Amino acid sequence: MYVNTERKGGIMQHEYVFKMKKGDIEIELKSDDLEFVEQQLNKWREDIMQKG
Amino acid sequence: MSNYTFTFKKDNIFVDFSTTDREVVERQFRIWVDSASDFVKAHPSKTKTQKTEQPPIQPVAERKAAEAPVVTAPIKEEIPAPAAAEVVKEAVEEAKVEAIKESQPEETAEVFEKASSLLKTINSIQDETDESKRIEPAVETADFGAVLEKSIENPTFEPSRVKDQVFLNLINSKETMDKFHYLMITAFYLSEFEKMERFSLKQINAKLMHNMSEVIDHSMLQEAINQNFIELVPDLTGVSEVGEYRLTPAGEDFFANKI
Repeated sequence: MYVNTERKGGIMQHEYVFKMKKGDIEIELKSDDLEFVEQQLNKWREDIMQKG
Repeated sequence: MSNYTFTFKKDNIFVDFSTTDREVVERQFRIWVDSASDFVKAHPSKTKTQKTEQPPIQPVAERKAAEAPVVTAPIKEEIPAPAAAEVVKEAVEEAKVEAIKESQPEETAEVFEKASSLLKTINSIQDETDESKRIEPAVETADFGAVLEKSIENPTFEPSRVKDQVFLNLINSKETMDKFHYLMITAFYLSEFEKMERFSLKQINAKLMHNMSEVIDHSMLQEAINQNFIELVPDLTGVSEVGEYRLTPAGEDFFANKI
């Protein structure tokens, strides 16, 4: 697992990597857009928890 | 810059979230843990159906903790995240307590039943062991006589093969291979080292044979007597079956200066 960080305009930019694996299927989402990544996390969390 | 990784696993689904943004990880971790906790509360029946896969006897609390969704947050560098750790701990404890409360009456009875059957098994094994122990002494007594008789017929005694290193050192110090010298050295050794007041030819030969595989015949002993190095000790009792001898002062001088 790796994360890149760099400074842009004096502000630390974070990169977010979201990976999900189900059986043989694996998907990865990489972004520096926190809002977008958190939306995805919330969506997948609800989806996983609903599958009782 | 520290990297934080949050992983989540449920059934065959595996979620991995990694970033250097600590606050985000803490926030998401808390959210996922809360969701997992809610899930456990909402689906207690799922944990029950999984019991057949568990070992027959296992503490209820441990089993329920194992069946609860696993939430891990390995942190690669040692940067404290107390809030996240506390959230995890609380969620797991809560899940444990709830699971126990839900299933305790039925599980407890089952555990007791299994423990009782296990106890019965242990008791039966112990009873068999006690019986076999009672039988064994009688069997041993009967065999002892046979074992003793067998050992007499087939003795396994072996004489010691350990050599007398002091004696060998004394022999080697004289650097001789003369058998007459061996006789004098052995006589000196028995007199001075083993503090024997008298010795027989048999004892001389026992020492030589054991350590050097050599023997002295009586003619050589007679030669030593003729030269007054060894003298025959008179048998005042009249019952001695073997002749006994001792080293004379001349014999000591011969040992010290002539060998």
